[in-house]
Amino acid sequence: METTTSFLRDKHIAYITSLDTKHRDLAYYLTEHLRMNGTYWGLTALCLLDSRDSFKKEDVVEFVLSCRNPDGGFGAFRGHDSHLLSTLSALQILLMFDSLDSVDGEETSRFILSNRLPNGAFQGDRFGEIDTRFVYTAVQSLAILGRLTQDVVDGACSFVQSCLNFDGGYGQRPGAESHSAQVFTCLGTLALCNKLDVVDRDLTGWWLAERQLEDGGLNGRPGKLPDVCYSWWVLSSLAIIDRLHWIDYDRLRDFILKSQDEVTGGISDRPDNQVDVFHTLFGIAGLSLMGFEGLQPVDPRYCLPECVSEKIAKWPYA
Amino acid sequence: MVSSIQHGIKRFHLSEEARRQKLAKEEHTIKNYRALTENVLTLKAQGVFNDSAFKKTTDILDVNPEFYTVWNYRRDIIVNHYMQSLGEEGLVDLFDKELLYNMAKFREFPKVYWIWNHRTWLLENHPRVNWENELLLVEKIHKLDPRNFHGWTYRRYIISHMEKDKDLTLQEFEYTTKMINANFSNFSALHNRTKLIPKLFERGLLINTTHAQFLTKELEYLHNAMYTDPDDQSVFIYLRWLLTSDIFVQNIPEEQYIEFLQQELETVKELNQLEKDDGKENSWCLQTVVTINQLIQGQTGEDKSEEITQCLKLLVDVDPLRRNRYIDLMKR
Ligand SMILES: [Zn+2]
Repeated sequence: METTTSFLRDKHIAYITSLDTKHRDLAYYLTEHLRMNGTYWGLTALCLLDSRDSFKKEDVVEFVLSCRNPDGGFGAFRGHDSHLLSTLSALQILLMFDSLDSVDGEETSRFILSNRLPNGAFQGDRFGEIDTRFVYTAVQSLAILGRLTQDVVDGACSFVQSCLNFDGGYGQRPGAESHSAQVFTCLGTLALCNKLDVVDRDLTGWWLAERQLEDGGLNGRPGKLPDVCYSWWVLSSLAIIDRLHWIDYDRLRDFILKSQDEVTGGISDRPDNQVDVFHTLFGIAGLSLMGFEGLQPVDPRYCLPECVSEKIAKWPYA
Repeated sequence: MVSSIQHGIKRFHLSEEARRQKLAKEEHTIKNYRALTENVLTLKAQGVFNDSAFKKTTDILDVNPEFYTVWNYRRDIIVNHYMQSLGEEGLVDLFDKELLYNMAKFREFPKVYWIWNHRTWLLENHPRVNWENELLLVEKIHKLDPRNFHGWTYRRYIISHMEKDKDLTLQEFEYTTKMINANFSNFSALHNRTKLIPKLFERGLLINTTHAQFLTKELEYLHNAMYTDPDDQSVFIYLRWLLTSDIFVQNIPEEQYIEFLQQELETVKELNQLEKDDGKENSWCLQTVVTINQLIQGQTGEDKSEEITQCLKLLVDVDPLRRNRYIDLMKR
């Protein structure tokens, strides 16, 4: 047997905190459109590593608030347009730092609901891109704000179910092929809406379990290469339907650990590739779900530490 | 925070010296890019919609095609400036040029959602769309990457527009056949088939073909692939659809449907025997034997639990990654 590399906890913390010091790199500026998401990825990873305070709360909260637009939504960076994706990240960050009271929930939910479509789905912003990702994003955002309604819940669930395929997976929109990331957003939506009874757990669990490949990694669709981010999309989905043990933990752990960069810290999409904060979070979150490395427990429905998601009011409201 | 998402980029570490050189080289680009960004975001905030601002959005997107706010601004300029000032011919020309520009971006960055998003918006607002052209474009994309799911989503979108004039289900069905013939592992094409076949029947597009005849042909087609590569999960997932889909189950007389199941069970067992003779039982054959037995049991009430349990036991060893699943199923 090959020996497994150990989990490089301290290096990952150092890697994540170093990302904010790269002001002389072009990449720092070319990724501004992902800054809000990136901050959420980094902060969540730090929380799971039990190192939240490696980020300075005042600076982060100030950054988040600086991205709020008059329409009530949040952009990815100062001056960038509001989008559901950056709005969810902003709310998640504020929740992790116990600073939700610094935003007007009414205004933010107005922005979210302005992107709701007649069929119950959500568009990412006013330009109309439809995707089950945005339904999940909207539903979790409203959940964090404690502003879900029966109407939103019913519409979201019926749209999500219209994206279900025969193989038990879900697609981006009705008619689209099953894809692990969409399975996560659809099951996540149903979980947040307390509507998991519509899921055929054995069927969906089957499709998800078949994502594991011989090298231990998980892929997004049949016949595709493995990728560490699917450690999250597939695993969290399996966890939501109580089938987490349907894949081989040890082999997946090996795959994730082999994707660590021993020099810089951080985790890449697969062994020997360049690391980034996105795969670093999803690798760590996957390890946490499987109970490895003494990480803080992660909530598969929200991709937030359990100690944070526990603060969110669950639907149906009492 | 460098917030990038990197896929498929080989790992490298720069030496101190190389890093110093890289930073020095980037210094100038950063300065320009930041100035340009600030300029464009300021114009946007001031609600300036004109030709010069439009050109500046091009300059930014050429460097960073993921800057969604700039794509948004570009669309706002089209709506608030060009659509107010140009006549129909002028607009057709503008939108055609914009489609070409968008295509060039796509070639460089085939996985960026914002680029697709922009293209869809262009078509929704183009005064005279040439849908045939868009279809050709998808074919080109699929030549490069037959699984590109943006391509498949886009194709379904184009078809839904073209179908306002005539039904294209048969043409689309043939397109999936062409893709599958090129590579049977193309699950995206097989998936699309599961959406198209029910429509072929519902819309009465198959003349003189019964559900049973169609299923027979489709199974033969599939057997070829199964025998060519028995480890290809795409084929077995599709087989499951053929055997469980309402379009066949509800439209083929019950006895005949059970016959289909029995025959398929034999075929899959035979294939597994060949595999076994070669040294190893095939996990997809075994799984399919389980599925078909469950279906027969459900139809006839015949007790198939012995063979099901036997296969599940084998699967625990043959497919250890998923052993817990098989153990769970044995307990049911
Ligand atoms: Zn990935």
